[in-house]
Amino acid sequence: MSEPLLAVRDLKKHYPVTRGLLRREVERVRAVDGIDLDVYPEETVALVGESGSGKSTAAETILNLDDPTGGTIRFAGRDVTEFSGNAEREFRRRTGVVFQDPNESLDPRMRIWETVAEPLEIHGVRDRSERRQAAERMLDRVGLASEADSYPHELSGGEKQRVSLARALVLNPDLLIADEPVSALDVSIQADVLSLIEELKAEFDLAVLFISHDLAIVREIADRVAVMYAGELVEVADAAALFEEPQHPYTRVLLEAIPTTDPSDRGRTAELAGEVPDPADPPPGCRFHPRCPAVVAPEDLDVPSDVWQSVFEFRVAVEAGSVDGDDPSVLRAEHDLEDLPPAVAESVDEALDAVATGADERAAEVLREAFPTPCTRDDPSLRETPAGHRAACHHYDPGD
Amino acid sequence: MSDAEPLLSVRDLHTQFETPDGTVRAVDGVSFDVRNGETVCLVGESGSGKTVTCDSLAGLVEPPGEVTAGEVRLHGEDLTSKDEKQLRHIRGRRIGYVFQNPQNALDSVYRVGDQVAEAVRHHRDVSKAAARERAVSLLEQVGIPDAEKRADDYPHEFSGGMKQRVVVAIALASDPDLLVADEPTTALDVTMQASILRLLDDLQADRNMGVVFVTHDLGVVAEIADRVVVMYAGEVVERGDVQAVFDRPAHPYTRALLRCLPGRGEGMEPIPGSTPDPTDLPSGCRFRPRCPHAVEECTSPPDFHPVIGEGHEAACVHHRQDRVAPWRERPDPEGVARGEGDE
Repeated sequence: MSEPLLAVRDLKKHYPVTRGLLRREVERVRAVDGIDLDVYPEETVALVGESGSGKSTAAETILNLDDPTGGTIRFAGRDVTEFSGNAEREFRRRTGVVFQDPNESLDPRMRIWETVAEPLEIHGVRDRSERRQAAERMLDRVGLASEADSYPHELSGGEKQRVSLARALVLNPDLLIADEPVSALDVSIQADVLSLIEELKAEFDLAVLFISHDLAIVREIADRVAVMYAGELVEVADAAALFEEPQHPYTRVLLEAIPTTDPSDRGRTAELAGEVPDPADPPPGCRFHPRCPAVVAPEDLDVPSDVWQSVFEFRVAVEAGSVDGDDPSVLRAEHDLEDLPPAVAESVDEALDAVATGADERAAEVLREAFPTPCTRDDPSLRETPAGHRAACHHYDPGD
Repeated sequence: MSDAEPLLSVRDLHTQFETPDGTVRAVDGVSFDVRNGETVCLVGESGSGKTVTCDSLAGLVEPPGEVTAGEVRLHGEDLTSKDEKQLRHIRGRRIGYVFQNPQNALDSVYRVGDQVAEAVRHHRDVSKAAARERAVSLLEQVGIPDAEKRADDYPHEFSGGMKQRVVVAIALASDPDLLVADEPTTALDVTMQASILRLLDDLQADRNMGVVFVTHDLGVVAEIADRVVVMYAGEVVERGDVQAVFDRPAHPYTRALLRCLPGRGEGMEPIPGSTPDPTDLPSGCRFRPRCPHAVEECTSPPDFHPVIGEGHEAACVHHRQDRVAPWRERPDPEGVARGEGDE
């Protein structure tokens, strides 16, 4: 295999939250918390996750718009984080960027061709007519030759995104970083812009880092996929393998959230409880455990998996302080804890009684001690799974 | 048509905007029905007129726009003949709204519980305490965990998906018969979208509401619609039962929209050309300039022709009784397979 064009190792981006005159750090937002990612020449890698997963921060950090807190970013074998002066300019020349909102890269007061030509000026093309010619060539390529003298407000959203692409590619880069480039567009325009990206990718021999929350789109364009959750990667795989055999429960939920294209097959979308955790206070162990539909059961516990899942979800709710009520039997019904097998009944009863008297902490402790699971204890790292790709999930712990 | 009177009946609705570039016929002869307990999706691209249709049936069109013709009947009562005050009353009590961006629907300086309670008091003469109680109950119904506590939070303390749930709670405060939801999930992540769709589905079943759901995304349509109304350039081009429309899309525009849907693993095929200039619409079928199957007759305005399946019809000359659509493989002598088959 060739060398990666972009090689990211243990990338971290934390934002300290400070308070008081001495600006004491009171907490730390771990937006990106140690990710490894390679992008090889001419491949499309999708970085996928919900809002708040850290995917956009990762992209910004890679673009060196923001100094990383830790880790290294190598581009074409050179450390970007140590770049300065000419070397940095070289990296910028070889990397094009497209954002979700095309208005971010379009200046409302500049004509379209000037916007497209601006990077040329920054990179030392002094001759205005030469710049104009190059811009017109790019505009022609994205189907907007007739709009060279227009202003952004005269264009539709899809056209603006085409202009962003023309601008991103005018320096003939090797890597395109596209952050949700079609999320704000109609489905029909999405198809339009995505097929343009595909064409340009082939024509310019581009590698693409594509950031998206939408796996339906990723499926159409990615060669490889990295799934991000709460600042960490939870699964990395070839696109075909990922869609065929998703290994991480979070990936499975994301896949199931894709709307169906067949009305007779509706309503199978999985409901994902809760939200992406506060990056300043991520849950211990696997960061996905409070929402996980498939938490690893204690080794010696022999009950059906749905029973275990109900017990675990009750524990999560107790720990979150969101269980309210003073009648154990009502709570039991609310949390799907009726007719429990003896293996779990005693501890659950004890916890229910504790919650009913307001002793939430005691209840949480009872449940924690009775039902230990690696998912709340250790943060899993990416490891090879039976499907042949990597996932960070305790289901794939050795000897499991 | 069903025998029972529909909850909402829109007939030949026309809404125009006067602009410096000319008259924009944003909604140009739109008709559809919504029955109790039914979700009707208006689907189309930006500029197809789907949002203006919603605004029109709600009396929310503002100058330079104007509803110039047509009828909007709710429970048989013609809304277009009402004055502003009567309309406001009906709108408030019988129609609930959910818009694309929850940000715009919520006031950032008021606690969400107070905003829901205010909506409750707007419709019912109840005490503050009773309104509060009802607000918390509504927040619970829309799936806000810990509603009692969260009612005291401000909008910025909620995620996008949770804000949209609050907006739904406000829309439900009047116990509306009809819920109009204009792209309510477009600004959300897929996971949030899935949960909001499920919520609307559950609420509708519980309350037997009619729902008009506007979207550009046929994937969303497949998830929630009972019936589909496909719009293009201000007109309805196809309507029918959701399964029928997906199984046998009859209008070339619907077929093209389905082909640009991602996630089928078959590639996404963009629609050639672009939506027409609304001040300068093509004569005849408005999709004609982009249509791979356009023929001479398409220069005249198309009539609706029935397609197989109850109430399924398309405004396309290829569905005329004496013709066979060119994307069908062979003529079917009995006309049983009318509209069936793919290229």
